[in-house]
Amino acid sequence: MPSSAFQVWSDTRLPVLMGAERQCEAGLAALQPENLRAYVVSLARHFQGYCRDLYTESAMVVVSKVRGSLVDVIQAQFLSGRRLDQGNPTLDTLDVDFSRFGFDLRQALRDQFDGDDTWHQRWNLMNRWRNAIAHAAREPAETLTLTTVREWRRVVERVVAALDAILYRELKRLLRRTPWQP
Amino acid sequence: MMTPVTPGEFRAGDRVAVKNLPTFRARVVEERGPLGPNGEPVYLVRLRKKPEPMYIEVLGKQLRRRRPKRPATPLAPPTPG
Repeated sequence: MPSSAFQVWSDTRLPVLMGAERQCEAGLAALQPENLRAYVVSLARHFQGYCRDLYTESAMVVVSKVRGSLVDVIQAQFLSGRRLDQGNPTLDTLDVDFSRFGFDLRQALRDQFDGDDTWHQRWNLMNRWRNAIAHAAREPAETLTLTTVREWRRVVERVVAALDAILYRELKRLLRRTPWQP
Repeated sequence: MMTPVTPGEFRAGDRVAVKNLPTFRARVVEERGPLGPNGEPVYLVRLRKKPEPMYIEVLGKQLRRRRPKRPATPLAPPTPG
């Protein structure tokens, strides 16, 4: 039972990323380093967009249970200081923002990945590369290859699916009803 | 190709008021897509406020449209005297 945010991810964001991946595979070899850099920024961008969408959708579900005269006040609070509007989609950013729904996202993700920590290391490395590329700063020591970026995309896909399942479960617990319809 | 947005009643740039916050002048900044309950469209709205504007994400049904600004009346040309 996916959220609208997840549907947009599957129907629109992921096909865009797969297109970028094919461009990296098929493009001129001389251009591959630049294509890869563009792909990394696009991957981080769409992941951040998905996280913002999921946060907004979750906030709207909570707000729909609030008395009418309080709706705008609560909506303003949900948006105030949202880190996802400014910062990278790191685990820290997501943890701070989604903690407003009353659960520990870091622990919930650890539980979803069942002790495997490589997802977090890859996620971190993707963000470090994204920043280095976007700010023309010194790039991390690890070589950027299509295989590496493909691994990051797979990690992001797993995190996206995990976030959707976690928010569904936590909102259902909080509201005592299913948060979104199929 | 970009994220498709379910068309709603409002567009980015529209002058609006949030029904429960009528004292603020507001403008739609972004159509956020069908992220409301049952796929209702959500809008990011900027409320005019000093010293800094305030942002809020609301459903379309929380907004009402404000009349567009009237274009400035051009000055009458000086009459030759």
